[in-house]
Amino acid sequence: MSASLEKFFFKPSTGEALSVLRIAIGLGMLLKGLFLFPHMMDLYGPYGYLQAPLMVAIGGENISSWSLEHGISTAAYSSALHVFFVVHLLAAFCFMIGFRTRVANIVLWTTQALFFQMAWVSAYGIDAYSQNISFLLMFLPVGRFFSVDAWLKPQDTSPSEWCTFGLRFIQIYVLMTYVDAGVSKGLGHDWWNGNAIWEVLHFPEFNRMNFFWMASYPIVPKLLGWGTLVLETFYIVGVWIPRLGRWWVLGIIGMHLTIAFLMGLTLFGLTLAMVNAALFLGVDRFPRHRNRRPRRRELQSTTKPLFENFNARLRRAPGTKPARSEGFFCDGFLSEYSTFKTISTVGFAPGRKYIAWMSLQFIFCLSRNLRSIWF
Amino acid sequence: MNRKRTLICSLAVLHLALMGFSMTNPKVDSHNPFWRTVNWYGKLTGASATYSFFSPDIPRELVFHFTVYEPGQVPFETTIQKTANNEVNARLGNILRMIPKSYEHREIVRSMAASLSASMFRSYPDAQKIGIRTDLFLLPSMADFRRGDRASLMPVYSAVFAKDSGT
Repeated sequence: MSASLEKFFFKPSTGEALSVLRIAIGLGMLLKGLFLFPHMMDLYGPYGYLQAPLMVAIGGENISSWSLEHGISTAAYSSALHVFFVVHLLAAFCFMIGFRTRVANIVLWTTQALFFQMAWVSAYGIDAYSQNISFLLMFLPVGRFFSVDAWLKPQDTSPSEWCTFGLRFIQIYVLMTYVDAGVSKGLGHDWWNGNAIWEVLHFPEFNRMNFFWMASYPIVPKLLGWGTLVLETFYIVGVWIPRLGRWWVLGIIGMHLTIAFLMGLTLFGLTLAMVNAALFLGVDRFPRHRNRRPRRRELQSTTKPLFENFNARLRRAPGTKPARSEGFFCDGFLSEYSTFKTISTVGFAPGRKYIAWMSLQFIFCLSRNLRSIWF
Repeated sequence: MNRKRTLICSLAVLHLALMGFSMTNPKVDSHNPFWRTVNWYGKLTGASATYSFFSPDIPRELVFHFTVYEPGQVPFETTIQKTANNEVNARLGNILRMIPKSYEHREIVRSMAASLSASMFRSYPDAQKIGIRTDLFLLPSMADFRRGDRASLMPVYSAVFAKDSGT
């Protein structure tokens, strides 16, 4: 038991998932900031949607009421808030691209915590997740991969037990939030009898399309309500079940995408979908079940002739035409893909540059074909 | 287990324990220095946040309509949501959802209505008066809907706020 726990929490991993999570959270916070920027005085100012004296009456003192008490003019407050917001946006951008990652993370968390304190009444899920995850990421090596820092200066990417521990810690945190959401929903009646789905989809605030047909098929909202309860409450267990876990994560991601597009909570839905994908569909999800992929150097000695042959295939002879398959403009992609497939079956580990090149070519082929379909 | 690992694991467990504790919405003595420290740490790190959206039941929904009176113009009706984007509307929704919880308390609703009307004055600086009408959105149950009932609005509050002559 203790050996399994040791493996689960401390088996060294490279922490790529943490870097992906950094990008997801950074992107979410950057977009959130950009959307809120034009309305910052409405949300965080002393004369916003809820004026400072009313905020004090509801939940005690905060920064905007403090500014009123100390006679700080609205213009000065507004200027300070603008500067503060720009710093927050810059930090979110640097954090997302991984430039001065640690400093950006600290600034991002500090500014986020202050924004949360300034307008806790209007804050919702995405703020709580952003604040908590950005706090936890401050202590973890999140700039090792996919970052400008790694590009400027090679990072130590050796497997570390703290990468695994950090990932597990954030995974458990996120899973606990789903238990909280699931259990608290289960305590009421609306989620059991289907009323919750019926009401949420038809309230003017969230209504995007007509779902009145559900009244004729009440089993549909009921099943959706039960599904939400099961997905959220037992996520903490289901995600660790081999084979089923991946589908469970996809179910949760599907739920968030539904929230994003049917209820208009786009940023919340997309950010949570990205966070779940980064945490549970990433490369480090089940390190105990995965065999380490052989390193390129280890394989090069045994597959050197194949590798050279492969490189020769990539350099197209002058004057040769790109391959064409029937009805699908592929520009040599398919033939090279088949070569790659053949070689990979005998143990060739493709380099990152090659994967990136293949992906670009695939996207290019796809876009050419989609264009021909649409226009 | 070495000392560093023990220390970090203990801190992690404490953080998660605080999260779990906060999720139960406990009533603690806010004057007690220990709970004040815990509360401060929870607010700073986000560990004291709860994630019980739309629970246990779906809250009642209020709909706000504003009538803008501009000099020399025909009064027109608008909503506060029309002046904002989706992300701001999600936050605004949180503020508006607080009102149904206390709409029996006339003075709180009045203060909130005045505050929201003031923000409409900022969106329409030429307006001399802003009228606010608050309705409770009544959605019939699925069974009632099948019997022919339809969604309706029940007026709960209305007022007209005017700019001071000096402003």
